[in-house]
Amino acid sequence: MNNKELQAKVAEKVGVTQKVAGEMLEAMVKVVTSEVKEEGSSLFFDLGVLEVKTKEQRTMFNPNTGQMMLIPPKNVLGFKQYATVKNLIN
Amino acid sequence: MTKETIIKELKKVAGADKDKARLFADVIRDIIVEGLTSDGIVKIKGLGTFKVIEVKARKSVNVNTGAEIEIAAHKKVTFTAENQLADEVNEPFSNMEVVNLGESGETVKKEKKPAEEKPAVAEKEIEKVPETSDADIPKEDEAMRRLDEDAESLKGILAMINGPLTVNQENQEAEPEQIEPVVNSTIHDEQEEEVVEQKQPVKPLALAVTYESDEPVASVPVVSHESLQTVVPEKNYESTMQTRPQSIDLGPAPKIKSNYWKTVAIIVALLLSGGVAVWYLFLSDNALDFGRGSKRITKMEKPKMSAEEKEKARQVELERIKEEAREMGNDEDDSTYVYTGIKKPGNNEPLPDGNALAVVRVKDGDRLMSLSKQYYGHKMFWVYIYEANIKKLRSPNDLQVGMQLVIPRLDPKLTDIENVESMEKAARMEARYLGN
Repeated sequence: MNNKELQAKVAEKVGVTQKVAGEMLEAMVKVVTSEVKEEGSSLFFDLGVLEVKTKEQRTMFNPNTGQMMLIPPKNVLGFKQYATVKNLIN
Repeated sequence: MTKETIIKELKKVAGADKDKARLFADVIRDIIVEGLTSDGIVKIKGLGTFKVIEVKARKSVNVNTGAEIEIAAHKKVTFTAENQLADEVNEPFSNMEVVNLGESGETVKKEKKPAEEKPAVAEKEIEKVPETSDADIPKEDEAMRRLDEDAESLKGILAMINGPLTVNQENQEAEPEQIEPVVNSTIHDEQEEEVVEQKQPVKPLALAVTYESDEPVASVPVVSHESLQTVVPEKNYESTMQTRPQSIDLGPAPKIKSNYWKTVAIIVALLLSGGVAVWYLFLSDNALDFGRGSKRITKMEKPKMSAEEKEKARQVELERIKEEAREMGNDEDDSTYVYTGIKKPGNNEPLPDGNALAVVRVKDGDRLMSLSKQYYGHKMFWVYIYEANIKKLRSPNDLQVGMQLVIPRLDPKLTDIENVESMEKAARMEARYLGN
């Protein structure tokens, strides 16, 4: 399901035009991203938690060139599903 | 995010009244779940992609009972952020790059125990040796005797210089170590062997102490080897070979007992001692340092020139780094602190005073990273050690056994492992020095 299909679905269920549905989705995304950026995590409705995780720096060995590389730390946005969702999709 | 916050936000959107907003908040979850179950994927513009993946069955252990259980195969929802959002989330580390640490990983693995201060007894014992043997053999190099005298006088001068500035006991004890010339590694090893073997039968006590300190003094005991070797009976010689601790790595040469090898060893040793004396008297950088205000000045003109050139090069480097620090706009003070701390005009080898945490003698297996780990708690800060000793080291891997390295005293902020900025800074410097 891509963004367009999602938009159409929302429009259908809520009873608004697709344009408004798109705006609603945008507003929702705005809330989620700002929360993620400011607080590091966001409860994504009842689906799960969007969370910023910090990956430690690590060394990597390239067996072809025989060189050690130092990979810097990284922040990654991850998602942890709720158990209810797990039951729903299984 | 709660339903209320999203409803509040949605009300701002034209055409969405309160009821519609509430309805949206209620259905959006179902819509997403529906999309996930039907297509297995839901893309939301500006956020990312939710995707269902299969998880294979795996074995696990019940943490309470310890019983083995199997987690059945199931599906789960994963999320991949859009590039823009991912970049924004990774903002704090965005300026960090992959750093090439060079060939193979042994630099990371190797670690040495901290170098301990020599016990005072060892110093005394070692110093005594050349004096007695000098008396026995007046034939031995004139230069060598002068060397010892010089060392004594220099020590006196140094004590006078340092005297007013609260000299602690350790400083003085560490002194002979600094005066003695730094010999290139292979030479050093050979001398070490000879010294150890020849001294053992004559002065077992002294030897035991030298082992403890584990830092053989190159210039001092060389004096005595010729005479002692002739004195040592063959049997004794062999037995000492067996009792020798394994940590000292011996070349194959001394194991052959033939006279031929003995004579070769003697000749090599003589050449070495002569070379060391010449080097010390005419070429040593150390001599320049400690020779301030002494009779040596005439001889020092040549090294001084080169020292000035080096100083110039350093100035340029310093300027460049300062500029960079200004550009970064953070921790500028810290970086200048490091440099000005080390860059004392006319003093090539800073003593362990306010600016240096310690002066270390490089042992076999030491790396800049291991030293950094030892003194600062993390290997990433090796760049500061490298910087402090940039005159001696042509490259970060140019460490040689017996070399003396200054461990600069750094602002704790700079070596804070927890602090992201300090780590980044070290990483940047590392990248620059490694030429990436």
